[in-house]
Amino acid sequence: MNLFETAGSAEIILTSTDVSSSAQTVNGSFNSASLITFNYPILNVTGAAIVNNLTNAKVDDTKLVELGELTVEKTDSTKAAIVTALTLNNSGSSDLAYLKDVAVYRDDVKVSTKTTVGSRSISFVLADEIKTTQTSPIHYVVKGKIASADRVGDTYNFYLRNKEDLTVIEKDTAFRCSINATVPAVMGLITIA
Amino acid sequence: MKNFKKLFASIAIVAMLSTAVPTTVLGAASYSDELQGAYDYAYAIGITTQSTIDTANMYGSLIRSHMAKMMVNYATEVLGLTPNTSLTCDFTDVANQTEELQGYIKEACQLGLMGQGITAFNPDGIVTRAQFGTVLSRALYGDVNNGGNPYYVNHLNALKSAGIMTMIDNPNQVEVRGYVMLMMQRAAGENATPAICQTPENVLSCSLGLNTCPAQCQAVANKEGTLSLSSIGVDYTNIPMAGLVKFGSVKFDAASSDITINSVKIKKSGLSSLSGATRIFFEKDGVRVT
Repeated sequence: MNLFETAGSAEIILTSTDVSSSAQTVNGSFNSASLITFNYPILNVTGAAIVNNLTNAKVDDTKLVELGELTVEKTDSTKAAIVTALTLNNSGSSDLAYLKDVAVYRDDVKVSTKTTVGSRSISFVLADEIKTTQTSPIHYVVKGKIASADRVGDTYNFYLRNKEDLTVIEKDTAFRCSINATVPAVMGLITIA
Repeated sequence: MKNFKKLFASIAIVAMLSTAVPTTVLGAASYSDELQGAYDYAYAIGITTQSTIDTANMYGSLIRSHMAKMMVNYATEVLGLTPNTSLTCDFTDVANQTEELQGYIKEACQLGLMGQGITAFNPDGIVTRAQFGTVLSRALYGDVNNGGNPYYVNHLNALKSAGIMTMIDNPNQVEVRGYVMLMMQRAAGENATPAICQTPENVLSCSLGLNTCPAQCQAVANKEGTLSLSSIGVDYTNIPMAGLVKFGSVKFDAASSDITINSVKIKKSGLSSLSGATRIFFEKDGVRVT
């Protein structure tokens, strides 16, 4: 099917006009292509947090523990999707810097390729395909090692803060899927024992 | 603000379209451009999680627990402050708050912003201009404005001097959520290039190192290196009418020294207008960086 057979009427071009920076000289600019809107039903994807079974964890820099779990589900069996990015926030008291080897796993296989730890958030880059016929929820589990802690009683409490923090694209078109999620989607409190 | 090392980085520009329509069918805006901009800013950095300005209750009041959440996000994400987690910061009246809000209340205290020297936090208390101004001032300037009589006077004066809070005559007035976002936006812009530094004569005098260069521009004028921008297109020419759309990627190439990007202005051209609910942002590796 030609996805673009329905012509649209709105043309949009985005152009950078000014860059404020510490550079003495700024060369070039950003010009997007002329993009025309059309009536196309974007694939809907639902993300939901699973409350963690683990409520207490000990400091152990050799053992992977489950820090959070998220399901991603599409009901459309005509399109494949690719999960490309996930950002989780931590509302617990423990410092994310104490975590080691944090990654996203699907069926116990590591599927994230890059992890970026911020002060209150942790981001993952993925390229994990959800096949066309797959319509049941896929479980993504965030695992990591708790390498240290300030004190017993500190907590981790990961949650999906914004729907845009989960990025899924259609495999064939690269269009961003529409994300349905009730946010904040909290994954449960883990207390350092 | 984004720092780019001497290599290069490419980030995608993404817009959340809520139906792009011809100009003729756009309705009148319900909010001033200033408030719309404040909402866009607040949403982009997570101060509000409401996905439209209409649900963000811009003209509503603010309670202390919600102010704690907004200020913690602002202080840690925008200002880069770090809480002193060795502080206990327990309060007698927060047990019935959600776990998330309890965390923010504690962190607001550990950041030195709220709950200093008190045992009851009053989480449902309505925030006044004096209270918000005091908290914002502490986030921006630390404790240098503490100790005034009344407690807020030095804080409000400091914010007024900086052009962040314009009306300080009625400190007991109930603070408004939209104005809170606006003041946070103004405060974050303090480090941007001041307007006086952008006049042609001052750009010239500062670049030549003349005495006529205003003092506040001298640091700004100390620029070095070359930044090159180039576009990386997308594989499609048609885009959905509603949803998140990637317009392309921008490659930032810092050639001879590290470069700090303060802002990038984007202009829309083409035949369509964008809905007021449209938001545009940059992201890197799927993570929003603006």
